[in-house]
Amino acid sequence: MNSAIDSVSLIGEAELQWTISKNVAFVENEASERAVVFPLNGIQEHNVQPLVLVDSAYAVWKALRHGTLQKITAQVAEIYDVLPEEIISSVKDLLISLESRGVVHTAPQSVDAGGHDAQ
Amino acid sequence: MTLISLNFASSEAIPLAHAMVQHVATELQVRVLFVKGLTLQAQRLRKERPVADVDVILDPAKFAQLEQALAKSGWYRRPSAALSFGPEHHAISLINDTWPVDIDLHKWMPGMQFAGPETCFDLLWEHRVKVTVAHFAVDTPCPAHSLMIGVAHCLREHGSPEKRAELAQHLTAFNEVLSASERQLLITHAEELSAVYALRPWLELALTPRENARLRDRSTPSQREEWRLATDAPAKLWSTFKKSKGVRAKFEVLQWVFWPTREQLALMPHVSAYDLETLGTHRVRLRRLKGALARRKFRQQRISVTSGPSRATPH
Repeated sequence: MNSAIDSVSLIGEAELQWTISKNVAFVENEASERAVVFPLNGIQEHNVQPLVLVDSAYAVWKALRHGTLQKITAQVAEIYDVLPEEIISSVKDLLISLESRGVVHTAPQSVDAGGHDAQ
Repeated sequence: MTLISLNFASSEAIPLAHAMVQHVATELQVRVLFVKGLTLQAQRLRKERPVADVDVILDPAKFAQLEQALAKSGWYRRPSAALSFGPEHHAISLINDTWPVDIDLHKWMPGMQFAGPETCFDLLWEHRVKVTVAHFAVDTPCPAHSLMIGVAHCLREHGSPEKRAELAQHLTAFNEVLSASERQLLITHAEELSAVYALRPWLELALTPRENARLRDRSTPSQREEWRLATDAPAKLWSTFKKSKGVRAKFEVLQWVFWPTREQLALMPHVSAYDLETLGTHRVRLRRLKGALARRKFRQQRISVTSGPSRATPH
């Protein structure tokens, strides 16, 4: 699952928009700062289980609406009162991990990033 | 940093299981409709409260297909304490070792099966709507049909004060949430599905005397008896006892009623492992019998609701 990395080299990371993939169900609990996300594609073949995102992972999830890696990182850095460059690699790792599980995907910024059916 | 964990709660699992069943069914081209619980609340037909499980009614012809598909993801039938004989079960409960929720697959909804499960499902399907659960669109009956199913479910278990409170909420919803055309649809389809007899105690409160007088009850005597047994557990057991063939089968019924084994108790609804551990098998047996008698007494009282506007009495 290196599509994100490949895309980065072709288009440029700054222009890539992260967004929730189609057929992903999720519930959020703002009070306890957690989201449970469930990528439904392939559940029959791979017995996929829901993922619980808490703490900084939840912050990244909530910041997805900001789109690009830089903007997501900036939002999370503001919440945790740290410099973006301190956390950008961790944020990127999480996004790539979520992408490998079919939860999120990237698209060039100019393309309509919508695609999640029920939002 | 650890960003992802795998433990999730029942309140999170229930909406996600709705999405999962919908997705699997869509892939298989099996028609499913979510009833009661979350979808009923999403349609504002009852007050919000914690939901216990996922209830799905599906195309009766595709029942085994969906069960098998869910089995691939680790869902299997919950062992049941029900007697192995007696009338056919209308639903099965599926459980999964990693999910804190039951998925109930229904072949039909009690009280609405008398026109035939297929006929009923086709009518529900024809009028289906979408609601969003866990940010995912799922199919559910239209508000009029959802309300009908909710009412029939409550009337089947009207021995509990909770179900009577819910009937009052359904009465409010009938008057305040449904449009005039939806109210008419409920009446017309209750007649078409031969559900008037089952719904009658609630319809008497919901409709005006003139509307009630005009209702066409298409149920047959045997269907009325079937519903009576479905709503009266002791009567159902007595009927099962009478129909059981052989001394051994009759003894099994009596033993199940009056002296169930610890293993049978453990599988019964409303009996927890904690109860069995702390109270002991004998006390749990006695408490169960006492509860059944209390429910029977309560059930014999005429159904009434204490809140919610009623059209039964002209204002």
